[in-house]
Amino acid sequence: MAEFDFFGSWLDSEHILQSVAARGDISFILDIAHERPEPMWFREITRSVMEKIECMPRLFLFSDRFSVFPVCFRQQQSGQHAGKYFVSLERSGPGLSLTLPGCYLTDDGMFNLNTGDLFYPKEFKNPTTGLLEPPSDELKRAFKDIRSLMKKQLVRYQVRSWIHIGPDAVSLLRRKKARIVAKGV
Amino acid sequence: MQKLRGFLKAFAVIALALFTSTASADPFTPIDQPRGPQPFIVIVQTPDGWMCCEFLDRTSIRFCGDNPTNLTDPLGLDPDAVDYLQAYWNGYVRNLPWQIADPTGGVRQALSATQSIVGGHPENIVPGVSQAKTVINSVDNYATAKGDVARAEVIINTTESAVSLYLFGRMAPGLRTPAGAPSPAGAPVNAPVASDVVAPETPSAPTPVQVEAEVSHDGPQRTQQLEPQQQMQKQQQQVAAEARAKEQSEVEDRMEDAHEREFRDKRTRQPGDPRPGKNGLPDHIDTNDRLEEMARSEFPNDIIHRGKSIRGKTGINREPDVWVEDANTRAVKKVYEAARKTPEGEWVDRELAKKNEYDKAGIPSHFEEVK
Repeated sequence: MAEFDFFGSWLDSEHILQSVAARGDISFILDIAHERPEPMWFREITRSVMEKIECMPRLFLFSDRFSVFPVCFRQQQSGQHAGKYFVSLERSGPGLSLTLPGCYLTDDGMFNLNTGDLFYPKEFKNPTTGLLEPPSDELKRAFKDIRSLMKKQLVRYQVRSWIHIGPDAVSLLRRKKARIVAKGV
Repeated sequence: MQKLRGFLKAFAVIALALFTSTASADPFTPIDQPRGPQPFIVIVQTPDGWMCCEFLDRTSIRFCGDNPTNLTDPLGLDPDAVDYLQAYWNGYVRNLPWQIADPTGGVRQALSATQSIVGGHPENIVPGVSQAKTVINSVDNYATAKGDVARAEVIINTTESAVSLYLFGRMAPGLRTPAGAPSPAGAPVNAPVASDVVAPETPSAPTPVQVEAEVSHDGPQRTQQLEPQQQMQKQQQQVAAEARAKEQSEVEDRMEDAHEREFRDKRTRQPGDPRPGKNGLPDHIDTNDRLEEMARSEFPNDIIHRGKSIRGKTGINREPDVWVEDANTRAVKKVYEAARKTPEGEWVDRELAKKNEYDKAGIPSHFEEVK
């Protein structure tokens, strides 16, 4: 499974994003409703970008190095976002999905920590042939590279099993200001 | 059923004999578990299926059917065994990265099959075990996310077929270490295991792994205050932890490579050659699109995932077709599955097994028929 789970505070998430953006070849798109099927790219992590990410902590990563096809959108037909467009990762790029880890304050003054992940789908639909294809070697290489970059911003910590977690989150755990709520670790 | 009973009894005798005969010198210590005594899990590979058993202790054994996702207790030895093993399976066994345990694919295939197939035919398991003969084939060590695990493969040759037993157990620290990594000096025989997911409250008394994290931050200051012997011990622990982390990372890479190879071998298709199952047939893709539409409509401000595991968040090792992550708490809010029905109009067994798991975990689920 090409999936990398990790934990972190908001500060850790910012550091991780900065380190990924520092690669220089990654373009990010937020997983938000788009008015038109046109991607809103950004390549640098600024304060305003972080404010937007705080509302929707999932991003798609594309790059000339591993993306061959344009970003594809799926139009929502019903509900609050009817008529708006969402990125369809399975039909785009190919690209990566990065969901930042959860870190939110609860009523008892503790931070709850939940997983974030770097991920790519098992199959991509080639818009030219209409066939499902496995991830390309370039995408897999990029996944490993970015995962390595992220790991440099993280430390290993044992709960029941080993986890990757940001140093700021570890500090919160040590000071008993945070707890891990993910049940799978 | 007679044959099955005969086999199970013979198997119990053989397995217990094997277990007790190697007990004094074996490198195993019991693995941790959600509740109850300390068992070993035994997965039995047969030509027709798989069977899951456990050793409660060195004198008693439970049989739990041929499919750990739908456990049964064919001998009626313990009415609680089904729930017990199901909990154990969910809590520990299924979360082991089995791919590590058997890079050649045997165990991986077995467990993949047990997760996807529900039911089975225990009467077909192994006929003619009366002349069974056991051979210890190999003992291997693996570093896993759950700690160091040893596996002993035992072959039972019968008159008509061969059965492989895999005994898994957590290794006692200091007895063996994976890939030649140095054993942590002075490590306790049974390493403590956190009782819940909240981080340990006493970081000043760390396990070897916690030491690694601690050294990253305030290691130098702490090290200066330690006696030379303690320093040496701590360094050894650090080396061991780093070796395990490196091994784990390499193992993760190998798992990915193996997965991709499997994909290329089995899943790449040509036009007109659809493959059943997840994302395979066009109707399944269409159903998934409908599910995503439904999920976005129902949860417009949350995160919608497709084909991604929920194991980290829930402990359930499933990849729902579509699932919703709460944008604030980051918990799994709801899962959506594209499912198939039998000709009688019932959900097929594997879908029911999924539903049961979600229900047990308190996760709302929606099953949409593939059309």
